Amino acid sequence: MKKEIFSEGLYHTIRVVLGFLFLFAAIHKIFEPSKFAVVIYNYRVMPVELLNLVAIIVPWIEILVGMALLIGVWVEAAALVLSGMTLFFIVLIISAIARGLNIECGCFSLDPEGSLVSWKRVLEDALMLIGGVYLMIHQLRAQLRLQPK
Amino acid sequence: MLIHLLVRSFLFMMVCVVVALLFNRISPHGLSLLTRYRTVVVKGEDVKIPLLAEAAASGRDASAVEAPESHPIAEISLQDAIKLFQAGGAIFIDTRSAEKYREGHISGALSFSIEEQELDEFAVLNLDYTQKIVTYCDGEVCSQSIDLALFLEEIGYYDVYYFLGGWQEWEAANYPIIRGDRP
Repeated sequence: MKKEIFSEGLYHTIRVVLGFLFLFAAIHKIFEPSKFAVVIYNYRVMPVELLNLVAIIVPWIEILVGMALLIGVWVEAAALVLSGMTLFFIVLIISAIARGLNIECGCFSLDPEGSLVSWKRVLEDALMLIGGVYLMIHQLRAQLRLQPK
Repeated sequence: MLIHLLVRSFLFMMVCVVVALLFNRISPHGLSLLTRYRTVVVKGEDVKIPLLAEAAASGRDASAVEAPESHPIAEISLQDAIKLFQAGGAIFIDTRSAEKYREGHISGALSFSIEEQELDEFAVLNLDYTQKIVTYCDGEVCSQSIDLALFLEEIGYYDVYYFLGGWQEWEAANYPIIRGDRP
């Protein structure tokens, strides 16, 4: 029983924290998509034709993931999308570090004096990934329990 | 159950895409869906340089972006340089040696070494005369950025700036840099 209360508490805490983080990360990007496109360009992994499209869509994925987590609807789907995105970000940041690029991360800020790509950013994303996977597993297990045996 | 999860996630992504495109349509900061770019020639190879300036403001239509007013070459500070960099429409030209360029340059900057290349070779880069150009060299101690800016003005480029603080100020400010031969 105690274990269950702890598990529920942890679930809601992670859900709300990740929800706020994703909303916070995206909110200014949707109003400055051209700045975000420059940030994406600096990673040098995307065909230049698609920079705008990615800069338009990615912040909205973050916003809707954040909202879904905060409201508590479609949490498992939002958590899967979140996990996929953070995994992609981790690979991206590590590849930038490996290529010796000194560029802004574009994670939570578009300010060039903000956060540059670094192992600290990788760690942050890894923590978010763990959180996302936890939420997904928690929800899937809850659904399993509800299924008629 | 897993299939259910995948279907929901897919639907979720579709909703995100639709909302994003709708918002982009009505937002005053909206962008054209495909990025405009300029093809420049670097060492005989075509390289696409995106022009990410806020085409937005002029109604998303790339062709509607008006040519800038002609102006004499002007000096810009680090603050102005990063603003132009972030706005995305300017092309930076690194006038230092090819070796220094390889060791690190402003992200996206093209290499045109005043000392190692003939000025006439600039045409090879295939830049439009209306292109907003920012030249730079090491810093206040060098003059190649001004030399190139003056030359560009002379041959008809009319939106040219030189960033006096150059590489030293940019690097010290920890602004985006790239190493290697590519812009």
